[in-house]
Amino acid sequence: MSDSRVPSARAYREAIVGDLAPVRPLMKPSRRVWLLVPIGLLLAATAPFVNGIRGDLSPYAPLLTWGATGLQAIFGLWLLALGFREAVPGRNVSWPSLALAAALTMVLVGAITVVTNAASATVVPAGREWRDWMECVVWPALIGSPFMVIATLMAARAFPTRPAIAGALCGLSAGVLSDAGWRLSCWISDPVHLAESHGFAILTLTAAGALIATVLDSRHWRRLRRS
Amino acid sequence: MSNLREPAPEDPALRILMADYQAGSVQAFDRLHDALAPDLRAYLRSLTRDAARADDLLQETFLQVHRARAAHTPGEPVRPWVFAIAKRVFLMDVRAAARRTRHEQEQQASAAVATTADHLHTRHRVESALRQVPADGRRAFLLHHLFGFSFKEVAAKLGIKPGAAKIRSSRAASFMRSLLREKRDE
Repeated sequence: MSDSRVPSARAYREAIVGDLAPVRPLMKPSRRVWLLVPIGLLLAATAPFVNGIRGDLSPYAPLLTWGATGLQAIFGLWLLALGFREAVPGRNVSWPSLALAAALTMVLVGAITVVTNAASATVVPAGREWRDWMECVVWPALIGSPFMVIATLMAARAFPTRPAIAGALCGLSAGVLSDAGWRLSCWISDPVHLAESHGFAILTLTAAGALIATVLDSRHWRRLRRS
Repeated sequence: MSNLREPAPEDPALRILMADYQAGSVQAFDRLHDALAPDLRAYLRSLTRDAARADDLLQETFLQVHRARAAHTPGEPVRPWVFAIAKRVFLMDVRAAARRTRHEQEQQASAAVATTADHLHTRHRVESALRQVPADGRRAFLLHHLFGFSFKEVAAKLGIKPGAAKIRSSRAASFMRSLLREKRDE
């Protein structure tokens, strides 16, 4: 590699020393998660408060309504903590842990769906498949987007070494939190509908988180190389 | 991976130095650099198997650490944080090198087509004209047109602004054109 590629030892020290201003260090990942807890809980409560709660579950309330939603919301916040941890260089989450997080998400959301369906089986009425599918993809994705963006931006500030994974975990967290509330508003319990639409909304937010984090990271590196 | 040098155990003093560095202390940066550089250099050498490249990447690592220093959480281990950034710097370099190699292969493939006597003659004329172009402009011109670096990358390599790189390359190209025109007319 030629000398022109990287400045000489003295030049790079001078560049660093010349730019040495005090900086405000980042908070611990756990403290940053606590900052987002109120927003996360608000996200999980948005759909039920705005759209109302499906009435057919009342005999089983509150365990099956707010109980399951609370459990899913806590799990979503745990995913956020995992994402913030992943974002810290040198503290990457292992592949088995990532696989476990993905499996737990499917198991938890799936189990809540199955229990809800067992309590009150409702299906998509004929002729409304496309409309209901759209509604249950677009709304949870829209409701979860602000949280996903904030969480991903916060993760990106930690200089993640695997930005796509950190962003995906933040997006997954937003998806799970958003779905925690949406499941109370959507009156369909059919597992197929939930897998196809609610699951798709979660996946969309996960992919969007990964994409945003990757774009931010590549911009960050371009800026670093320029400076 | 057993041949890779593992980071040494964390020294608690490093965390204090890192906090002082974040507060803007030059001495803290120097001491942090002295404490981490030998192991980092060895780590990068084990990754690259090339001493010169490892030294380049070491400097790049410290530049990235400097830019990202606010991202370090006070009290957290410093060594794994810096080593993870070093590994990322290495991976980004590998990616950039792969891009350069692809570009060079494409250039070679297109050059291989043009191996007739006429082309050799043209090449000779171009090379002789190139030698007459002022060194600053020649460098910018070659980095952009031959090696395929963007003007931003050229600017970073030459330590100038992207606009200046563009102007130098453009002036060199005009100069080359006029020289080649003269030679053709002769």
